Amino acid sequence: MAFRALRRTVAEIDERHPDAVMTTGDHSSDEPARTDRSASRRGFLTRAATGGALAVGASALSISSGVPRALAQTTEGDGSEPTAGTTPGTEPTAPAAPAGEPPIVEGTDLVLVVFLQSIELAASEAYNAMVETGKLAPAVAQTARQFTLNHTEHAKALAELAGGQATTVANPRLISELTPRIAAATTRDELATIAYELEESIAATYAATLGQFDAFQAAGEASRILPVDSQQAIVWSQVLYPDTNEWATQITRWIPNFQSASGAINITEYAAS
Amino acid sequence: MTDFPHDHVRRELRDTKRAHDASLPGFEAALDQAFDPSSDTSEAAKHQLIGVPTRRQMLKLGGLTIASTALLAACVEPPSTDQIPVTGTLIPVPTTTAPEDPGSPETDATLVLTALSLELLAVDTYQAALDNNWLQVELLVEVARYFQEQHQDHAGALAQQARRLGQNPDEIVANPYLTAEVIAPAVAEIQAGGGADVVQTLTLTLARDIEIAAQQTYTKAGGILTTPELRQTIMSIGGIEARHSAVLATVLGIQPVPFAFGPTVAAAPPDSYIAPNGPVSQSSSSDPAEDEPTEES
Repeated sequence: MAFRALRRTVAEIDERHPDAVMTTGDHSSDEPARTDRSASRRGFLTRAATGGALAVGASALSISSGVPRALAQTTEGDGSEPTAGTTPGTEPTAPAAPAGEPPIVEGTDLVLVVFLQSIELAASEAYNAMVETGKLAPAVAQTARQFTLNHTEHAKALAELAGGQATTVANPRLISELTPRIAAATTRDELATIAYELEESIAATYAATLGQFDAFQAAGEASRILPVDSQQAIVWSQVLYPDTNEWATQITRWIPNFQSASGAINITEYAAS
Repeated sequence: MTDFPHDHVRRELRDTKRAHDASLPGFEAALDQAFDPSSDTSEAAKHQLIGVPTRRQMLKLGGLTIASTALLAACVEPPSTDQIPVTGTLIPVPTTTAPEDPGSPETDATLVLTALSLELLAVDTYQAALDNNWLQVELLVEVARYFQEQHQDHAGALAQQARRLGQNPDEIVANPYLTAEVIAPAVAEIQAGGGADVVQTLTLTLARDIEIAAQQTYTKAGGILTTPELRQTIMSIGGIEARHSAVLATVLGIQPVPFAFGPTVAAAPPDSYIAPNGPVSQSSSSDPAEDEPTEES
């Protein structure tokens, strides 16, 4: 079996039948994540702000494929770059009036850290909701509980960077989209699909923010979290395909050449509260 | 009195405690699994899990300890002269001191070249496994081949970054220090045989060790490299090595996600670092096409 040839075949099939796959975007990538190479730090936020208008197509695709809009990537061209908008957007601004400990990071880094923290809190809540459905087998539920703890720890670590400006609220839009989907899931595999896509999107979001952070502290924290979310995605892929031979037929999907920023959660569409 | 960043130390301690607390549930599960009498966990794996060094690791640790002690001794600040004559009053120091940015262009070049040497090490090691038929299961052979191809692509991406830093990646070979200290003894153990299953398990263990070393080196680099581009590139690779290690862990019956945060204790040691081989320049390319790795690269 030649995985590269297989990957091309899978890509061709995906192209012909986009509705038949449950990808959240093109997670497979032969290139390193490089959102910063063609865009400035300001450009990332501006695109994020203007991405809403251009996300209609992606949203339509995600709805048809059963993927929440939260996990849809606004892409163009080869799918490896966020879509550039034409209308000037508004950069999210750092919260004013700091309370408690002063933040370790500032400016745009602080905005990104609080955004990531809200995503981690949402992931914890989503996993709790999955466990509470009772549809996960005990071993899988234990995995979900462990990953809940991991996301909670990630949120705590990010909160330390944000100091008194840390959020305690899970990302509202992400939660609003994940909650009904989890409630509607009728099988373990449906829940595992949600979990897999969530981990992939979070990993992609860290890959995107690593190209934006100024401060080494924020970049260092993201570098400690990204590998764990990547590993958690692998675990859910194995839950989805417990037969190793079957799993291996899609290895290029589970393990692309580089961790792409494609599929990252959009900071403006999914702003922290 | 030394000018010591107390806040930074407190943060480090909190980080350490949090990492410790977070790792306990996973660690307990890993212990249960490894020491289950019905499991086939090797003695080496048990040693690794509970942190008891093997003989080889002990030798390496000894050397590292000496080197670290020398480094620490060199880092001790000389007695402060910030003292007012006559009264002896010490000049007050700020209560908070921002941690210093640990990076520099020279460190960037060192980390990129070291990462390149790790990728080449992985390529060579997988090649040895394939050439010598150390893996018996056909699926594992295919997976090893796939991982090797990915490491080759990672090497291509890192070589491009090295060039942008004014370095010559063509001079870099598989990491010499790790080849001598880790790969050679492991290969000798594999070649000693003990049955096809043992050889296969030892090979998978070695592969996982390399993936972990690479992953943790890149995680460490992510907090040191000075430009967003370098950080993003290194972690676009680090995330994939993490996936490799998770897959290999599953095959070996080990926890695929053992920690809440990517640790760095198994990162490549300073002795294995590859120093810049040319004048270091800052990254200057603005043409993305110039940086795109190809499947052939």
